[in-house]
Amino acid sequence: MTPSTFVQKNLYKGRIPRAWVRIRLTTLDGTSHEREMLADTGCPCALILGTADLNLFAHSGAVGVNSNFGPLAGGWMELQMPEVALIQPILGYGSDLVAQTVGRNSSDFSGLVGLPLLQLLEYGGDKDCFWVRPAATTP
Amino acid sequence: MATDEIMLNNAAYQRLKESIRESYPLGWFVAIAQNRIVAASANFRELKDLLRAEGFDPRDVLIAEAGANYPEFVDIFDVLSQ
Repeated sequence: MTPSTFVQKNLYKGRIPRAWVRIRLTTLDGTSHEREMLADTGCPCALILGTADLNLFAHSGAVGVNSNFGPLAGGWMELQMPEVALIQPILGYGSDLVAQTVGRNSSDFSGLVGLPLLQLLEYGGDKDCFWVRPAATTP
Repeated sequence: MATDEIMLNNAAYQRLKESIRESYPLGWFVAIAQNRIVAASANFRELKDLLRAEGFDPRDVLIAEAGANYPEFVDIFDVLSQ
């Protein structure tokens, strides 16, 4: 019998329907907060949030980067998603312009997650929804 | 963190990154503040504790991963602006 595996399934959402994931980050005092994030495998950054969220969730500074959306401030955040086996620091960035652009598609979206975060999971989709689940362990 | 501090820490990282690559095991977390390396650890949480013990607020410190290749520029696809 195969053990059941948690799968986070999300119906495509937004003015133009988009794949998205729900992530959970901790603040410095250990409080967890959920954010809905557009999923973009073409994005080379693990995580981009608005600057208010970067300030809320950053546990330390990190190397920043320039982009076609302007400079992105860096910060190390802590993912707290045991249901998909993700409890770890993650390098993220802050950009109000990116957050506002993503938010125009759906006001539920706080930012976007890119390939470096999605690669920590298994992900996929069908005609209705996008899903993520824990990465398979190598035998 | 103040913008000036962010810029100073980023400039210090650019100056120190080769030394970090040569001196620390791949994947270690290295903390930079006051224009120098102030602590390092294989474990992110442990490094934050070390920084606090040394009187640093981790939010005022730049942490870089030894051996990581941080790009100077990234393209975020136009898919966002459709």
